[in-house]
Amino acid sequence: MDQTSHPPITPCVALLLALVYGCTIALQTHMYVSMSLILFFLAWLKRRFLLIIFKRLVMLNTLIVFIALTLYWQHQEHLAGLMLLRSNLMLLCILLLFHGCNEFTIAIAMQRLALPHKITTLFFFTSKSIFLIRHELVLFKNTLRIRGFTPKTDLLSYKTLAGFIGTLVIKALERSVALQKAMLLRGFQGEIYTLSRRQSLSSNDAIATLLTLISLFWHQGYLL
Amino acid sequence: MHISEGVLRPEILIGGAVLSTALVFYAFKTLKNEEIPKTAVLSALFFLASFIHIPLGPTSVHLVLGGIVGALLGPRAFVAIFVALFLQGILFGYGGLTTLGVNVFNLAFPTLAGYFLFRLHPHTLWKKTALWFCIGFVPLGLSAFLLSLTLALNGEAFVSAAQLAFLAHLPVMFIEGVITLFALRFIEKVAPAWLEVV
Repeated sequence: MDQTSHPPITPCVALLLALVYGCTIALQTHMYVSMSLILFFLAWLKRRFLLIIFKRLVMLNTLIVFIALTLYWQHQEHLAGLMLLRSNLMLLCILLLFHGCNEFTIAIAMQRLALPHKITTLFFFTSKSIFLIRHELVLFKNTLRIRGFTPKTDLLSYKTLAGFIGTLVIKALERSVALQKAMLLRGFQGEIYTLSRRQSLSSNDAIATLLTLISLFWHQGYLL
Repeated sequence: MHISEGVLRPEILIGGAVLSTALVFYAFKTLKNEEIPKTAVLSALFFLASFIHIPLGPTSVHLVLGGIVGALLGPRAFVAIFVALFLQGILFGYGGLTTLGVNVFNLAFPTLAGYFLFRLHPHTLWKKTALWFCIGFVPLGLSAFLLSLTLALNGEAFVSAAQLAFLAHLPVMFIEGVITLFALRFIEKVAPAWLEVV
């Protein structure tokens, strides 16, 4: 997602919707078609990215399908079907709500939800560190590729990768000291102030909230 | 390593959430402002470990680095792992929100083993080698055991899946042990001050 553009659903609303939808679906023992109502709306909002989202959903299904197969093997067809449906509804909801978001979007959403400053600060610092360490990870992979190194199942590969992990740990710890000094220097009082403008609630937020509630409490079209 | 959304029974989800909330709340409450940077960078490292793939025969496995994070953070690892798993669940769908409690407990609690092992003082090179291998091997082994236990507690029908899940993690435990051993050796050579236990 472009850093300057706003997501169709405000991230803090998306967090709450994902939590309410997930917690309610997790408790269900019977599934209905109407439970997917919100997903159709979200899919329409993210229609340009549906292929990417479904590819990720398929990838995430590896463990779920593995467990479902073991259940099916033991003639627990209903349980296997229930688990597959429940998992996919919940995963699809999260993927559709947060596709295109990054760590910083989530950190800002946590701050908007008025959570304790210590938690939001930790989310901001973690997001920043993820951004920096990910950059180093890409650089390292590129360096190995340029040098013609292909990782194999041997001790040399493991030592090389372990050396990289060691470098990451040292750099991360050095960065934490620099960050701590910066906090002291700037008179950090336990609160982070962001420059991003507060995103006001949109009509999409209202529709998504309404559809989530309908999906969860209006049961139509029995599936299993 | 993460249990996906929709797999577990509500009793287990609630139990995991209650346990993890208590532990994470305590760790948050006692977390000092000056400890936030170190916790954050190691949380980021734990988050990104999932993207570091290690070749294993025709396939590859990803690292967890719970042992290193636990060794360097101690009980604060609960906070670091909570933040990392929350972000992984939201941004990539690994785990999720309802299974966050169970996943945090399964991955964070065993890191305490890494913390205690790191505090032992081996006197010979062989003992040190074995200990540093264990800092990677034991927490991941315990996490795999807790993952299997969680699946087994989910119902009799899940016992086969639990057994297979544990077996699937056996090679990963050895790789995590080997990588942790070499990574700690590297840190000892390059920046030994970071390994000094206060």
